Amino acid sequence: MFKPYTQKQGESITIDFEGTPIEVPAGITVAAAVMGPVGKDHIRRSPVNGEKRAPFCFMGVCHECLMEINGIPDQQACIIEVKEGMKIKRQMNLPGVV
Amino acid sequence: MEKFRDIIIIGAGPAGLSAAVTASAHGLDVIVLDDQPSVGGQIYRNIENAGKEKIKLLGPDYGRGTSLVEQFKKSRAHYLGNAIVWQINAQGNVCFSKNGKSTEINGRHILLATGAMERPVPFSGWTLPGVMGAGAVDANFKSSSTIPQGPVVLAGSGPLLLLTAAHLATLNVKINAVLDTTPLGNYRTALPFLPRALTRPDYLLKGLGMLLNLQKPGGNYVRGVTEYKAHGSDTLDHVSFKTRHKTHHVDAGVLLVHEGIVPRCDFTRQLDIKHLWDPVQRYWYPETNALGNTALKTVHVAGDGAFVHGGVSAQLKGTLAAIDMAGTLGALPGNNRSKALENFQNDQGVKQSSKSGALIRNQHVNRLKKQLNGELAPRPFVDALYRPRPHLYNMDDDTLICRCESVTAKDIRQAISQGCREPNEIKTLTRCGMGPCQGRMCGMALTEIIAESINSTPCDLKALSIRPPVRSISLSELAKTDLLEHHTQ
Repeated sequence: MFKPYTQKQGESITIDFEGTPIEVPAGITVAAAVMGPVGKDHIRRSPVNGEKRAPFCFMGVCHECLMEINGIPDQQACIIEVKEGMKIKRQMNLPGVV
Repeated sequence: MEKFRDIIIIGAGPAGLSAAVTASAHGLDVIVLDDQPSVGGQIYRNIENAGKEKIKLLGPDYGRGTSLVEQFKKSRAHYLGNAIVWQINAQGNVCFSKNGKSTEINGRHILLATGAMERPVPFSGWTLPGVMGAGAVDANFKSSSTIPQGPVVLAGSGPLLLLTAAHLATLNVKINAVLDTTPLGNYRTALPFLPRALTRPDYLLKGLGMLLNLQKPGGNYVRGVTEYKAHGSDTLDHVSFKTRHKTHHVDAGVLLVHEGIVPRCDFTRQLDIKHLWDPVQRYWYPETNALGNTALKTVHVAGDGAFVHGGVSAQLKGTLAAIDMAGTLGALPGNNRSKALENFQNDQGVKQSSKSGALIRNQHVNRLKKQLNGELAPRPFVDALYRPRPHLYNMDDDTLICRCESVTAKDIRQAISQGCREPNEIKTLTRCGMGPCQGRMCGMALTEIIAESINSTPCDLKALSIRPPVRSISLSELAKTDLLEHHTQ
């Protein structure tokens, strides 16, 4: 849904996205990484109605970007920066599934 | 970490940073807590790492943040990023979460500089991935340097919609359509406010320039749009919109919506401070005096969180609030609590003389107020021109109002038809506002839907109650909060 504005390569780091190592620019947020270089069009499913959801506000208000980061669920991916080796997972459980 | 401070500032945008610079120059011990990874708030987001190219792309309104951040870094104020505040009280106790651990600290004074957010307006299809805030994507570019991909459509009304469209054009993003919902009649009703606005031609010319740029051939600019909807099976596919009873369709992979900016009142609500209703822009704002002090002596509000006036005004309001807090805390200029004070006075052009500190302070305050007044000149015109369109909240029954808990307009209207008039009652009945965002995205709409149903206005209704923890933290983190001694005794 997002692509880099320039091809210029700055410093990059490697994150673990659902088991796959992916190189992303250093200093960007987890939400920006998932919607950009990782190439996903959604970040979770609504635990209430099962719909695909993606970040809406990108500033920590809407809570649509909740992800599992380093094993901890419900982290706000739009206000957390990517770090080397960070383990990131989408929250894809459908309603009623724990 | 030192747990007792003179001033705790919440928010590192223009208001928070300028307040921190001023207060620490008065010799006060200041800490700034902010939930973002870097300073600048939304308007100056990530400016420290932006570099010349990005500052050139985004223009002087963004670049202005550089000198403020430099002053802040040079000041003696402390800063904690990624610090999510979740409770405040009038005694100055502040609880915040950082790295999964919560801590309580105390300030003799608190400044709320939490800024504003885009007005969340539910519409059919707004939960589809691909639908986002216009300002949201603009802010995301500042920190990630990524741009939206796929047919891009913008919709709504307000200066930030125009600014985002201008930024995207600069970034060579192809825009399929700009759907302007500003009612054409607003150009007439805003007219009485134009003379005062003309005292700041710089603002008006900038806005006019953006509007004219959009209307160039190939700009795909549509005005007089009365409604828009997002469509797609599980992600966005296209947008439909209405002009004069005609329905149109346009392909879209990304829809950027904007319906104005509203103050973030989470903490002023949590503190139960009185809020006032602005009938033009249709939002609540906390009651403060001219220097930002609330009815609670220990709590000030500055910046767009007090009333949406923009970044330059926010900076001035931050400075004013800091001077007022310094006065309350006995750190008047001239009492020489620190060497930094002299430097500050020299910086501000305050002449060292035998005049009492209070007099110097008053002169400084008056100069700042005059400057602020100049900044505010175009606001009544802009606010009237971009006032929310009529029936903004008259959405279809099947529209999701509460994104978190999947509560529809129909669910809310049913509760109203059963006699409910109080948003908190409807929250209890329907779960509207009970999810992780804690009503931030649906609260305004909920109140507006009730108002529309009973021919009233939100100012005659209550708002959703905001209780701590104001941000979501895990129960185990809450239980392990490192409290100040008075609680543990």
